[in-house]
Amino acid sequence: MAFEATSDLVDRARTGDRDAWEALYRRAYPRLLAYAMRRLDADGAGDAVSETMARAVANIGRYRPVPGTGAFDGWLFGICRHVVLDAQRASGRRGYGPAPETVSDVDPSEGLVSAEEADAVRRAFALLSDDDRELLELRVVTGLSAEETAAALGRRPGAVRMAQSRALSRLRRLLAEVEGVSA
Amino acid sequence: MTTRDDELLGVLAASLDPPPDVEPTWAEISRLHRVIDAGVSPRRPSRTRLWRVHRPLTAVIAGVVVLGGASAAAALSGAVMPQPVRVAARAVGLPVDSPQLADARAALVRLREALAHQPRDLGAIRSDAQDVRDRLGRLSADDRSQVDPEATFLLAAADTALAPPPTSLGASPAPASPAPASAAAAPGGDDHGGRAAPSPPEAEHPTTGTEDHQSGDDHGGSSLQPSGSGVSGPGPSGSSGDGDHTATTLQNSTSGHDGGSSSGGGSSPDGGGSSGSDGGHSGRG
Repeated sequence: MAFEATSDLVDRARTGDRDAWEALYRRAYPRLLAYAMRRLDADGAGDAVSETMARAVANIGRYRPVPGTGAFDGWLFGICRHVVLDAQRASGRRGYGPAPETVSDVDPSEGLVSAEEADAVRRAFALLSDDDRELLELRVVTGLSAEETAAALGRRPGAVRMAQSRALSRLRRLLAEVEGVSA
Repeated sequence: MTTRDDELLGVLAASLDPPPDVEPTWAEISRLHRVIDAGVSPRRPSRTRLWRVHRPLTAVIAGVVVLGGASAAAALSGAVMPQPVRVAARAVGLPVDSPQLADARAALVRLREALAHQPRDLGAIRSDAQDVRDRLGRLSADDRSQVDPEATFLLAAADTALAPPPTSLGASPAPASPAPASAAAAPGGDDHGGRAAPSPPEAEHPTTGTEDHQSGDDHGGSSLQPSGSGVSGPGPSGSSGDGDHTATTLQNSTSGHDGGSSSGGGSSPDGGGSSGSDGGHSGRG
């Protein structure tokens, strides 16, 4: 099957095209699940992703694309973010789930970074505030652009870039502290 | 240690867990299909946006049109404007009377009709006059100035109508009433008694309606019945003998009959005492 642009799929999805919706679902599913699993348990994360798509279907008429930004993913992650927050409120839990270092038992770097360095980065990342972690996660893990991240967080792209720069500065400082402690 | 943001982002991406390489399950896809089948409306973004923008404006325009139309219609036809409409109309600055002034005007209309009614119902005149006085008391100075001349005239007419008839020396009591003229001489004899030992009502109210009470049944002016005159307004209450038992009906819970009843209120199950109705006019048992 030929790759179809997200914007084309969205246009078809607006008309209730089940294939288009399924394609969008398959594309976004891993990233939505990764985002949700950092805040909810496995079952809750699966439910959250499913609920996210249900809300997207129900509200697709309100989605207005911004030309050149591919903002559908940002819109979708914005929905997912609210769904996760609702689930956290319902369960009386806020913020992140288990710390990343306890979750990760694989080294995805495959030679890009050493295992020790990856572990230090994960521990420093865990010390960041929830807001910083969420922003960096959306940018790094889910691969959203600054514009899409802004759409997901309900902020302006410029503000997202600024916040990202500050978050990275804090991460760098924390990483130095972590490496100093472990050294 | 990385120094540039891009490098740090790369290290971070390499260090954190990547998205799992999974796909939605069949059950999850099925759920999505059910949601789609349940209802995806066709695209209507422009209409949604237009409605969002214009809804408040439309509501304001509609409200002004409705209030303006209602006010104009009421002003031209003289019809009574509903109080909520009046309040809203005044709130938006339309030239309509205040609710208090409208109520006072309505009370004046009722008093005028009561005065014009033949035969005159003195009880209605008295209560309407009192109503007018009450409502005048609630008006602001500006509002009161608008109705003061008419109110003064009508209240004077009401007082005249309620004034006791001139008594001539040696005049005998009304022959229709066998009841004693003094309250002291009629312990518990009518609905004003409210005493422990009720007397046979039929014996004291052999005839019907207000004529019966004109024969001296109204003891509002008696020292034993202060409340009878206390609620009757500025007129010579209690002296007219018009059979108005508005106040005293509230007291006859023990005697258990309606003063204005033609059928002997003592046997009435709803007894004037509990109903608090105007015994002189209700004619209920």
